Amino acid sequence: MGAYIVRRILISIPVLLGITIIGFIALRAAPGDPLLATANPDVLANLAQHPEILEAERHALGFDQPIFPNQYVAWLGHVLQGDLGYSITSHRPISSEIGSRILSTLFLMVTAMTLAVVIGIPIGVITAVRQYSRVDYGLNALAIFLASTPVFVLGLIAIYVFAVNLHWLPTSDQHTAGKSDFPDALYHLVLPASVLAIVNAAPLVRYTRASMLDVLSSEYVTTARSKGLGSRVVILRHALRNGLIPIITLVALLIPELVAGAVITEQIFNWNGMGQLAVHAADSRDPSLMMGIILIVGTAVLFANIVADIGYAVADPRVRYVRPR
Amino acid sequence: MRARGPALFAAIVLIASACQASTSPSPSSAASQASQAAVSPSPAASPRPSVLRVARISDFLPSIHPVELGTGNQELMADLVFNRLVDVDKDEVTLLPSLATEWTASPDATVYTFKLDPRAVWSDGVPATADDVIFTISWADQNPAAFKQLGVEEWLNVKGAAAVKGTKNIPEGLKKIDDHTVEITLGKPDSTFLRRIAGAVYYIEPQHVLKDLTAAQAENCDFCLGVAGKTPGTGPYDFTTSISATGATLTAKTNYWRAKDSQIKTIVYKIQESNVSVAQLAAGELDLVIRVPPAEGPGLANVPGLKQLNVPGVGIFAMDFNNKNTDKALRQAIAYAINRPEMISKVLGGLATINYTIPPGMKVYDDINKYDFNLQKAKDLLKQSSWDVSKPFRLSYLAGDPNFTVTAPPLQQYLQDLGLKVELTALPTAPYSDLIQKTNNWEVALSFGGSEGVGWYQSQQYYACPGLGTLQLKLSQSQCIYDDLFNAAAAVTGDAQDQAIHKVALALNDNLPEIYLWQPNYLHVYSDRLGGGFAIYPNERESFKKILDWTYAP
Repeated sequence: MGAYIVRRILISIPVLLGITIIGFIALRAAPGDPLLATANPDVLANLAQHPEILEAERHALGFDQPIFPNQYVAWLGHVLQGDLGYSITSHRPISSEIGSRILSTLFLMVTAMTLAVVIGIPIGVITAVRQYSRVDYGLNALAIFLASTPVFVLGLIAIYVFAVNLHWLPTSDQHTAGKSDFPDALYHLVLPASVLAIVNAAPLVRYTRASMLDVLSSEYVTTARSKGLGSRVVILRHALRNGLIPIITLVALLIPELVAGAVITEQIFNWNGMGQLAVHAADSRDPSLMMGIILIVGTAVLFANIVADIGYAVADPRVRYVRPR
Repeated sequence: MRARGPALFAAIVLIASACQASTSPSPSSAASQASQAAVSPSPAASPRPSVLRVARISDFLPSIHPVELGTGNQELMADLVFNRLVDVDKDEVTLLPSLATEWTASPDATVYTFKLDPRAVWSDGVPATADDVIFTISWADQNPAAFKQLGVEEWLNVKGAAAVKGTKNIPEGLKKIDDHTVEITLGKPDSTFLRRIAGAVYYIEPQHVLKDLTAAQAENCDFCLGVAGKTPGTGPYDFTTSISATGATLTAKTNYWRAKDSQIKTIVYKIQESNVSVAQLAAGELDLVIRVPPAEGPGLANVPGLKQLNVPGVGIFAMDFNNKNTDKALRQAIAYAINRPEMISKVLGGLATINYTIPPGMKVYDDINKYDFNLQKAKDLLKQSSWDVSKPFRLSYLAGDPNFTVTAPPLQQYLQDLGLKVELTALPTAPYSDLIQKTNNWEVALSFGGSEGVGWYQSQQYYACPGLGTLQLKLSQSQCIYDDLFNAAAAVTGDAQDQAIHKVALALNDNLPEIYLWQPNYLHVYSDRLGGGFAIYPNERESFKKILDWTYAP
């Protein structure tokens, strides 16, 4: 297993390089001048009177060099030294821009995903075990309804009901104005994390149910039952372990979202995370910031794939990652 | 098993309730306090320190040094932390003391003398003197290319400014008379100098903090980025959390040198999307939101404890023409074809003031053509123009901006009624800027904002001669006539100035390099706990300068 993980990590390096090369070229070749994108009408008037300012800035940022390989190699060289560059809009280091946001996003997303798994998988199992019962129909209908409801609709309803009308929870933000303690952070986490958890739990219910139904109708489960094993043992020890294998893929695919953030949810709840940062970077054509985000998210995707493969091996003893002799 | 679902929901509710109990007074109780405040003795009678939670639209560059000052949020924050030599009152004409308590101008508008307030000190206790004024102006003149956002043309107009570019020298036009008196001599007469240096970008900087600052460092030094504790100012507030893209927290100084402390102890200044602000207003989480979308007004009117101000703004909604693709007759035809009163009443809900094609800071002289809606006249002019009506007429605007998404389709309809084959092009910021600045693939662009409503002189920057050909207006160099006319107006005063401005107005009104259509109102919503001298003026900056007179009942 150890050798397999090392091999997968080594394979991931050229893949990550490929991602950054494509991302870099696409960003630089996209229409629009990133320097002009930061300017309002008054600023444009000033810049128009002093075009040398723009040219000097363009030169300082290396925008006047060929995109590939010059600009890319320069960028990669800095990245390898731990320098992701500076944002052209905030003038702050990309590492500090991303660093401050990624913790916020992890706080939200880890909570939401954990809740989604804790809610989604048990309900999926229940609906499979009680197939065609009222519980199955009711929970399935609810899951389909939630899975097909856009997250912004659910978010706005939650804000309207719990914040604006009932005043139980805050509408948005990560802290109450003037406060920064942990209980206050938890208070602000409840609404966005719950909405995200519900939205992500719904497909988990559906997948878990389908997978469990498949397993529950298999011969080895019938054999286990005929041997007189209790229903709880059959479901939890024999059926669930195999039923979870496709769910591992689904959960692993959610891992990149932990660092990429949930763009719409962060927007609705004014959550100062990676999703909002990505939108801001794209809107302001901040090339270094966008590359920083691509690098982080690309790494997370590759990491998630490795985690999924390891998860298969843990859940299914038949899966062995050794080279056949 | 069956009981787990309801149990989970109950747990979430319990956690929420527990968390709620651990926080500050709930919005509902705050709303209740607000209603109590309305019937209790006036806040002015028993002022108490308080926290003001204010939000404004999300235009912001997280920097506070003048080289990066370019958005409304930066200007408002800079006004709370720093002072200029002079300020201007809400009428945009009357000058008020700021760092200077007295000032004089020579009759030819070239020599200005300022007496500084001897009480003025920086946040760290160092006295603010004539040396700081001379440092601020000299640094700008030594590093003019560092100013990437708003320009500091007034500092560059100081006599000898060009000679000190790239040096550490002081321009010839700056003279320290004594520690609290400074004399500024301009290279060319400018009667608008005092009014213009009341702009936020002209705030006076602390020499003892920035004396070794280079142009490159001005982008990201601690002071420049508004780092709390490292950005001393002479204004009534200090940053207590560093500024970021989402705002900052500012705390009022005690024993402020102007001998009056602000009653609002803390300002939590938030920069965020307006939909977030609207929800927070409705839930009682904010006390003041500047620039609420007008469509939200009726809904928020029903929220207890909130009041609304509907104020004409200083920005304008205009059509900017690509003058390479359009001739005068076509532009005039378009001016006649748009029914502005109908647009204002039906599309903008009456929340705008009509413009007669010229910049709103100019007087509407009797001989100005108002271009009242006349479709037949518009069609006649279109026939006289060189425009081929079979070609697409490309109307471009910034995608996603509600100012344009609401108005572009009806404007398209007016132009189609005229006989143009109008194509709408909505693009995100960067490709839009690229299209307008670098290509010829457009005929007209919708624009919104600016500050032309502040005064006639504010419009000059949009017609500045060196920028022609690269600016959105696409005027040809032969039309530097506007710049010359503005300069002629700035060089004189009184009737002579009025005559000069009249000439500019007539030239713009006839040639229509752009059509100023209307000045939209801004809706500001605030808590009824705000009182005293609280008001939001058309130019929002002038409002915050009077924050020492505001009261707030917590």
